[in-house]
Amino acid sequence: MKIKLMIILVLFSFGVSAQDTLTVVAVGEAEAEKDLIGFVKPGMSTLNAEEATKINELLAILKSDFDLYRSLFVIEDGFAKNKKDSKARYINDFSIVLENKQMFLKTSVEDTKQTSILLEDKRQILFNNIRSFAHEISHVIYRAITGKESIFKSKIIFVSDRTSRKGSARKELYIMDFDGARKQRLTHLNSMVISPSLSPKNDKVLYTLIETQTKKASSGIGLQRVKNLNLHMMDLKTKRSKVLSALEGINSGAVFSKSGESIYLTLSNLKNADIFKIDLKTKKRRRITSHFSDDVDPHINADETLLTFLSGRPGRAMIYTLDPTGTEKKVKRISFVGRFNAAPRFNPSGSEIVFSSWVDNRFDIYRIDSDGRNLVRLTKNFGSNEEPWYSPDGQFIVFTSQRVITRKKAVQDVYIMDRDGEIIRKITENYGKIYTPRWSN
Amino acid sequence: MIRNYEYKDKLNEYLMKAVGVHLMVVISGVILNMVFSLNLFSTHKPPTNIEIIQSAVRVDVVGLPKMTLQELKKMDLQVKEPDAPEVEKTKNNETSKVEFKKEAKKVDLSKLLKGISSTQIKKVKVKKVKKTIDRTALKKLVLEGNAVSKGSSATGESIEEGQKDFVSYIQSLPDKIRQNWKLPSYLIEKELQCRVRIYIASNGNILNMQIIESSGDEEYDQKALDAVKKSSPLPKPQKTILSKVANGEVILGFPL
Repeated sequence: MKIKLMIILVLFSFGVSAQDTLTVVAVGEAEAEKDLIGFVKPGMSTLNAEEATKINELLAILKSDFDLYRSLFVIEDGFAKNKKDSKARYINDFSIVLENKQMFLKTSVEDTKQTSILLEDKRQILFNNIRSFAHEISHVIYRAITGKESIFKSKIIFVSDRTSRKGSARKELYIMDFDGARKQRLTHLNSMVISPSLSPKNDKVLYTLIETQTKKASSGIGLQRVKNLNLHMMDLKTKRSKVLSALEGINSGAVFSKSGESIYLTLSNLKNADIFKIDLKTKKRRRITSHFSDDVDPHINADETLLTFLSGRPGRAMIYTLDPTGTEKKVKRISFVGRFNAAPRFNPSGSEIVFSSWVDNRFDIYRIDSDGRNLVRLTKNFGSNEEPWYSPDGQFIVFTSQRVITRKKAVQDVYIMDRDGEIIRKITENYGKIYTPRWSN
Repeated sequence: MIRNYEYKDKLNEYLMKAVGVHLMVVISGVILNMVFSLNLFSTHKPPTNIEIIQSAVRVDVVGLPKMTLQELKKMDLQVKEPDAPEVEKTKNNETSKVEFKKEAKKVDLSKLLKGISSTQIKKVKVKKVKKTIDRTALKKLVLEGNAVSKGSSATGESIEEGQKDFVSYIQSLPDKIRQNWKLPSYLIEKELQCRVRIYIASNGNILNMQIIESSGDEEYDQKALDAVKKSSPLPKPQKTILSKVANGEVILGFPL
């Protein structure tokens, strides 16, 4: 009994003299504070009615542009008459000056918190192209405040079936501003264009065309007409296209490397679909994947160290990454769930991948880190959402969303959301069914 | 026989001496512990023995997440920890009713307007807590992911029984503080880190706080302190862990 008592006492005395432990608990990443941004309306006494309307349009576009970056800014209501009326942190003050019969817009951006002028800008007002002019002003303001490039001068290319006629399905290539304005048709092929992609300098477009060509009949006697998916490249300045790859089968899903000197695409001339790299100068082809399952939809990160693609090798379409410097080098499966995954796309830094996945009889968009961690869902109860593609600054994702109207009719439009899945806005309406929107670089 | 008694007497004598010595050691240990726990000497002493705890969820096989990121963000803001001890007080004694009136304004107002009895207030209170628990359960469900099969045994260290309440309490703190942890974008991009030591009172109020590891950026450190200040009162600590939280054993890492 006494021995037991002694042991307890000895243990107790040790307990008392032990050192206390301090425990660190991680609070986690901070949320970004939103700054109030205000706009001062310029005096318009020197303008005629038409010019005044254009300036009002310009001011509305500026607000609309900054509304996209709602994760950073809160836009002050209305327009202040002068700087003193604004309570914003960032005040954009405008004035219109007439010099040598030319109208100039002077822009001054002040950070009232740091009491510093961030921007003094003066440029001739382009009344006949006020949208572009407004986006240019938005861009310089955004850059002055954040030190980063904006998306305000970016474009989106897409495919639309709006020229289809009964019994004759057609899909042509179009281009528009990032906000859906100023749409322009690029191809007049009366055919089916699929899977477009822009070059790093945004001066060339890769696209695949479903073309009918003749080849020897399988019986060995005579010729037969077969459909083939051929890869074309269009020069956006001249609007001229040339065939880049017309091997038998699929020549599709092509994307440029970030240098623009080579492309990655899916070829099926060796019977099952695999991913290849083609050097645009030498036309040399190199095999990237070599597996009996189909591998499609390649997308490459900025420094060409990682390629993501879709593969049927586990039995269902799953997302993989590999090192594109070799063949089947460092293949890693990224997604393990979803009945059918599609269209994996890197963000500009290559740190994350956005993709669509079939769930509950529709597609929805998900995001995952490039190492396969942190899978998050971005869309839900918002139609069927496909073909995601990052904006050049990585802050937004453009995608198509389909709404079924009747058993035979459905609409499919383009939407923009931020990278966390907050739907920002719909940017197309009544422009046919839209497919494969791709943001410029 | 006599020798035997002599041995027994001596043994008893030695045992008593040994007990006395150990009691002295224990008492002096307790006194020293009390003196140092007042933080008279160690207020600015850098921590030497730090254990890092982060919230973690382990799920073996998962389906695609059902909730969107936006839904999860909103849920984070909505969920509040249930204040169970307060319910017990409301049921058990009169003084707690006064406390409850102070804190639950809606119920107090309904009492003034409708003149309902204290028994009815109890009902309202219980109902409110039940709802909160439901939300917590829902959040737990979300955090567990869309599990399609139960995982096998997880790796990792088990927590000592006595530590469980403490760990459970401090894991509840980030949810509360993160709501006020905001930085301008230019500071987020700098990817800084600081650590704040906090001293928590029995009612959850923050008694004191200090930067123990600075980020090197004054504004960042101040934003972290502001986040803690705005989050006061924190959830009430249980009595069993009061000495730990009141003595500054909790350090908040911004972000880690």
